[in-house]
Amino acid sequence: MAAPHPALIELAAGRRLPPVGGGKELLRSAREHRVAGLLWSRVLSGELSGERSGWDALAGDDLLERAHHRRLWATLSELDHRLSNCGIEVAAAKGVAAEARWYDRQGERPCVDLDLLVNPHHLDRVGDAVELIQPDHPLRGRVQELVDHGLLQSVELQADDGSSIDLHIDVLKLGIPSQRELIWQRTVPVAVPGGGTVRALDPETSLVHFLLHLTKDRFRFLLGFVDIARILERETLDHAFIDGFVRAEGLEVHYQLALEVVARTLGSDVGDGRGAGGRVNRSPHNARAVLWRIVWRPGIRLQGELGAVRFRSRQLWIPLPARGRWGPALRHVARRLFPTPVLVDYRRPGVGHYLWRLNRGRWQDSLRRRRAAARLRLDAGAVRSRDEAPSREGG
Amino acid sequence: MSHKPRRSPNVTYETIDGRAVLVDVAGTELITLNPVGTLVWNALDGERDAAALADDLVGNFEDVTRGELERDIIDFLSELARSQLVTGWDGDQRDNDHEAM
Repeated sequence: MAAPHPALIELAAGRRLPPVGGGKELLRSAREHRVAGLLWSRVLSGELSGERSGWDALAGDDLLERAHHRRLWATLSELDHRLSNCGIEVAAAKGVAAEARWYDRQGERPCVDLDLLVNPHHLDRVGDAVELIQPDHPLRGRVQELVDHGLLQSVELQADDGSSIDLHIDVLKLGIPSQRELIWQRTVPVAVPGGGTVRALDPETSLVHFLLHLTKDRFRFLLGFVDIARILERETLDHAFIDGFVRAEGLEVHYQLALEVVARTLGSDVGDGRGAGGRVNRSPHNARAVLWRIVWRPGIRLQGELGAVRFRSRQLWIPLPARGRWGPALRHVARRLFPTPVLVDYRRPGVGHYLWRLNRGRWQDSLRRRRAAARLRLDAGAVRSRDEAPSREGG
Repeated sequence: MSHKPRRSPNVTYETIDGRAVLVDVAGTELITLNPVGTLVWNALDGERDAAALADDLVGNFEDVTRGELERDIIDFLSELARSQLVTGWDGDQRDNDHEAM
């Protein structure tokens, strides 16, 4: 489990695939890197060789994914309506709204949950929103206090139908305050299947958001690269706005270097970092860029499932390369290392002193991840052994 | 009582190699229908009861009588209804006919 099958790089870049059969490794890799839906689209178009019956597993995956997306849209529409009736506005980020705009059919882009950004003018109502969506949430009654003190960037909820909702106070989630009002002002209406609209991040903010999300995710799944390639390919972007936005946030290094990773991985001119006036931005080489390149070095990228259990501590470093934001960045790191007792009670329930529960929980998490990583490596070894074993027919 | 079943609008399905593949209500499992079930499934438009469905579909089968087909359709619809895959089906109309007698 790790690097994607080479044919999937072509798939992600939108190029024609080299001749491949219905190989198990291709399918396994496509599932791991969340691009099985894209692969199925190529089967449907007739581009991939082999009998369609050989792709039954993909067809089943696609059907399940489409059913899931239908439910997510229904939940999104319903929540938007209910929250709006209470005077709370939200906008969708990533997920089904992104799929509808930048992918060719429902089910192509796997979506786990709904990401909803709260209107910054309604942040004093986040507690009410949590009460409405999940009245039995463990943090009920405490959420608003945490939001008011800047201790919460988002809260994970579960709707009545079981759908997972990530309610965002700050959509960039870097731990340093962002230009929330500007982001909200630029949200756009997106059509809901079956009628109506919901608000969603505009393409420019979505691009920045996806790049940051891909970075925080350690560049582990190929799907994240596709998200960015699709926006660049299908939108006429206001690069002057993007330039100004990332400069105001101090995120030039984050934006430029993540874009370069996408371009180099997909082997195309996607993400040439064209800035305002159409000039190509030079790759930064300052101290912050050096830090970024060390933390998100090539060896940790495209690790798939293994990347989910390794390299997690890198998330802590995400705000540090931001220009002019050392103070807020270090405060964020401190808050992550020593969270408020309310959050420790929520994430590490149990008996004992705050420090005991905090450190025991971290140790348990670390042990779980190491075991998971060992299991994944064992499984990968078993798969390789099976594939390399002589077949009975030929032997 | 309603006896004109239709495919539930909440069900996602597709026909793959002549067989309808449905996603269950929980969204976690795939249900594959055999070719006969697929024929019936595709005919569930909310316009016909089990008798009318049997009348319309019997020509597709060589060794099945119309009565046998109607009984099979009723049993099939009851299963689909239990799994919440169809609407407009409240049960076996034959029971109501017997009660009315």
